[in-house]
Amino acid sequence: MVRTRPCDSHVRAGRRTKAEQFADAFNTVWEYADEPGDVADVCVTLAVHAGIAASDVLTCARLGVHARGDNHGEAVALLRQVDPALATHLAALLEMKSKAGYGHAPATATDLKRAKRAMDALVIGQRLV
Amino acid sequence: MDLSRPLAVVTPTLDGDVLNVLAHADATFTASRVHALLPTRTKRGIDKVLARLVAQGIVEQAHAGRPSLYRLNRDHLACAAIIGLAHQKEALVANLRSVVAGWTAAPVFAALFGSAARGAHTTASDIDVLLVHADDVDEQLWREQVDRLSAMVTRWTGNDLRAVSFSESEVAASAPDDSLFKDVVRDGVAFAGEPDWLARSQRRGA
Repeated sequence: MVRTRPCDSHVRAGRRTKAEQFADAFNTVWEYADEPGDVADVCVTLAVHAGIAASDVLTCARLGVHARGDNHGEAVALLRQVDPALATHLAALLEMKSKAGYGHAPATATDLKRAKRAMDALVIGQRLV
Repeated sequence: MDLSRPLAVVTPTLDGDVLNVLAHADATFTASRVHALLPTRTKRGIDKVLARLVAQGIVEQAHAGRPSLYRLNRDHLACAAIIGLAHQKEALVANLRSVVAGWTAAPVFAALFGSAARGAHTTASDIDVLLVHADDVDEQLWREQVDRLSAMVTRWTGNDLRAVSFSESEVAASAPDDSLFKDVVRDGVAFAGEPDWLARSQRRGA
């Protein structure tokens, strides 16, 4: 059973603003970095936050609820009810979350590209609802 | 067509709006949850529509507890058609992406914006797209491509296409607070080029 919280248009608008802010911050940090590797962990973390917020917008719009708590599997399962392809992108981002935010190994250039691809898909997806 | 109420293309009634909600999620809904997603409609009307759709077999009703749970019957013969109708906006973006991907004079960036992107679209609305081309584009060829796209969009939707074309250097020279570009950065759904191409261009010009 996925734990959820009801959301209205105000919550949806607030989550959308955050998704766009995190995505804009990702793109700005990446663009102005001398070396993309220097900011990979920061960018991946921003992409994860953008993706989670975008996922909330999608489930708010289509189900009237968003995921509650920190269980990644539940958030992915909820989004899968709305869009299985976007749920795969969210799962990819959440896999990178711990590594980028808490691990000692730096995020790689491949992680960064995957994170951007997943974030872009989710942010565009939430603009379509 | 009305991209905000895609099933209005076959029925302008509440039945279409309820089917649109159910078609966008492989999930169960209470009648109250459907009502929360259609706040301008009455709960009583939604109850009646759900009962009608259950009688047609296109909606399944489960009585596991109270209240009843409803979901689209994905095995129903009409289901694929209903899901297709509900996803016309996604189909429009996919068609735009496919057409411009085949252009000889490829766009640097293209995005759907305005009411179609914001979810405020009606049958009377234009479909707004921003198209950015290279500075050295063959202008005659570009115009022909845009004219063909315009005719296609009208055939696909019944709405007029309002395409605004700029060269890369015109975008680069624009004011950072240009309202059209701000709209596209905020709400646009890119269908050619990098999704953040315009935002980057605007940052560099600031």
